[in-house]
Amino acid sequence: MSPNPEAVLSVRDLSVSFRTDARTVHAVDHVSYDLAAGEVLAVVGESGCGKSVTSMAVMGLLPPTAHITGSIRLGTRELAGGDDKAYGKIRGKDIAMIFQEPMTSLNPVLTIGRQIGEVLRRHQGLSKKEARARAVELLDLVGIPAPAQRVDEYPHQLSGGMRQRVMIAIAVACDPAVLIADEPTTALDVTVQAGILEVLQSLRERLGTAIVLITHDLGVVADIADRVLVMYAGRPVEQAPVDELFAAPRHPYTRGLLSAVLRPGASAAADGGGKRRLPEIPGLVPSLDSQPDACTFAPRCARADERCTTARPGFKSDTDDAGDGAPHLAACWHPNTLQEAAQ
Amino acid sequence: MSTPVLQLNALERHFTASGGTVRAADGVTLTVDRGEVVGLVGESGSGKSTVGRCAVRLDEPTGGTVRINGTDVTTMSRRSLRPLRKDFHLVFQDPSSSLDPRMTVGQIVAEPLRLHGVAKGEAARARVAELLAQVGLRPEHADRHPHELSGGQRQRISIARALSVDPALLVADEPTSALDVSVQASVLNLLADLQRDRGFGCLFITHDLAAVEYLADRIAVMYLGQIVEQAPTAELFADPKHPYTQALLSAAPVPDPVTQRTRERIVLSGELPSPLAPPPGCRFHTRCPLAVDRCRTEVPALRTLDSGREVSCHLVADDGTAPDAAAPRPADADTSVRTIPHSRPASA
Repeated sequence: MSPNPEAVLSVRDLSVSFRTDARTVHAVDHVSYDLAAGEVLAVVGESGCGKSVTSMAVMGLLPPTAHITGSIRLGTRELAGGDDKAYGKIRGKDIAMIFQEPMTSLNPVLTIGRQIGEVLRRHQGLSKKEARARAVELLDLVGIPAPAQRVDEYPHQLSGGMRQRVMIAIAVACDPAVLIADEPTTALDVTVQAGILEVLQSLRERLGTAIVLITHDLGVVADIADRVLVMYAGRPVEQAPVDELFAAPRHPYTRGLLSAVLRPGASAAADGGGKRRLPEIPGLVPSLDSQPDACTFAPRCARADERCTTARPGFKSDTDDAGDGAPHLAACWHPNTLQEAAQ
Repeated sequence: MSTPVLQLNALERHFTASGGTVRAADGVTLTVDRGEVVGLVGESGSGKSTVGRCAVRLDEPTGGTVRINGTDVTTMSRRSLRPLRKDFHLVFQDPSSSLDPRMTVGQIVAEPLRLHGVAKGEAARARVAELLAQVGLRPEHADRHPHELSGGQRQRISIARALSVDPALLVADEPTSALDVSVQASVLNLLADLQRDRGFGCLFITHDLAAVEYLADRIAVMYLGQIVEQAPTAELFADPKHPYTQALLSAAPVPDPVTQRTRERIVLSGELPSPLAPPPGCRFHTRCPLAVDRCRTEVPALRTLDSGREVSCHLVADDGTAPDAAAPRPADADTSVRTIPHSRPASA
């Protein structure tokens, strides 16, 4: 696959490994995706699946011990292999990132206005006064009430939800083409989360920002994503438009994940006092020491046969695809057919 | 009727802080019957964990009473409480910080057995093997240390330890919140199975509405240190009475894009007020889309409705007729609320 020239962000065969004295850990193993302008791509998976490392690689935020191969194109620029100097020109300007815990990303001794202004002064050369005025506008954009007063407050004076809004304001200050949001609502309460999701939604609509949303919460995915990439043990296993993924998952892991999620109306004390159990995925996630020429989900998969343990499946779409333009990819030798998947 | 395993009566836990008094729990009345799972739901700062800690006397209540199996333990000394500790146990959110890293799994699970003189030596070892099997671990796990196990396995060990002496009450504080989705499912299954087989009472504290709906028989919703609504699980989800409960249920996203797109959610304005200075009148009035003058001055009591449900809201009638927080607000309400239908393009 060659990079898609129309995508604002095009990642190809990105692999990241970490070498320690004892072993090499393959955290990300040949991940590819494209992100269109104004699109929300959710990257989903459980702890250790490589969803965060993928994004840290895109942002150039991994430590020097990380060994990165593959291509990361932001518009026409190749980011892979870029040093801090190269990244310094684009981070915060063309691509920005927000994290789960805003308090660890904000400087506790600087006012939020100063912290938003910092990006503007660095990348857009605004004066102190201009930067402050723009900071007030940005706080308003992310839904912070009384922005003209709030701009002079310190992070500890704000609630968790408001701090995350400040992080978003900093991230979008220079109108980046791509915003990477790594579990942006995980540390927040549901009523606060609802507000943050509204902000992300409105940014996409008003500024056309493309968003990579990293999350483990399938409710959040259903709420805001256009397309979903599912990762397992460092590898991509399925990618599809959101409705298709939820309605007709092709990969057995995706199926397992979706059926393990609690849905409204689920109760252990089901009808007539009978037992109703949540479906589980048996077994454990494999270690990332090796890159076996096999499907890494095979040991936990009911459909696995010999081929699954001796050859790595390609990440491709099937011929019986819906054919509506957006591809539905799955890395599986025995994907659920559309008929099976829709059940 | 048998004695409830846990009875909290007007429980108060106030902390003295530099700015005044933090009313973390402020008059909480709650019972857990034998064999019943009661869900205690609320957002951060609602006081749900404080209630859980007071219930097992890890924290000292500053008012009200705590009864376990009918015995008032509110002011009992640590020493006289010790033999009673066999009857109640707590499972925490993060199993890695509640398991001693230097002990083997077998030692961890056997510790309560040893402390309460239930079993020792060979008998304890046999009991540990049995408990490990019940929580889905293998006998050889007994010789491992916590760091050698996954998060889900560690939480199973916390559960095995808590249940080793067959307590009448289990207080589980966010037991699945730190776990991945698929692991969460297996721990919830485990708790449901064990609860059914052993019939202990369980106070299940969580912010996860889906998990509580799955496990609990009855749910109490907390807001700023007080219970605002209490009802059997199915009734609460089908027909939430309190405007806060309505907002909470509407805010939790449903893992189905088609449904989620058409749901209306009530976005609350404002922020959770400081528990240092809870608002006068109804504590929720500052964010309630339906608040009227009475709500700002008069504290609503937690009333029992005709149907037996409990709710503390002036606007809910005794026959259970409740206002709809998502509906257009009445003319005398002043708090702004946005009910936002999803404005996402149908296909992208």
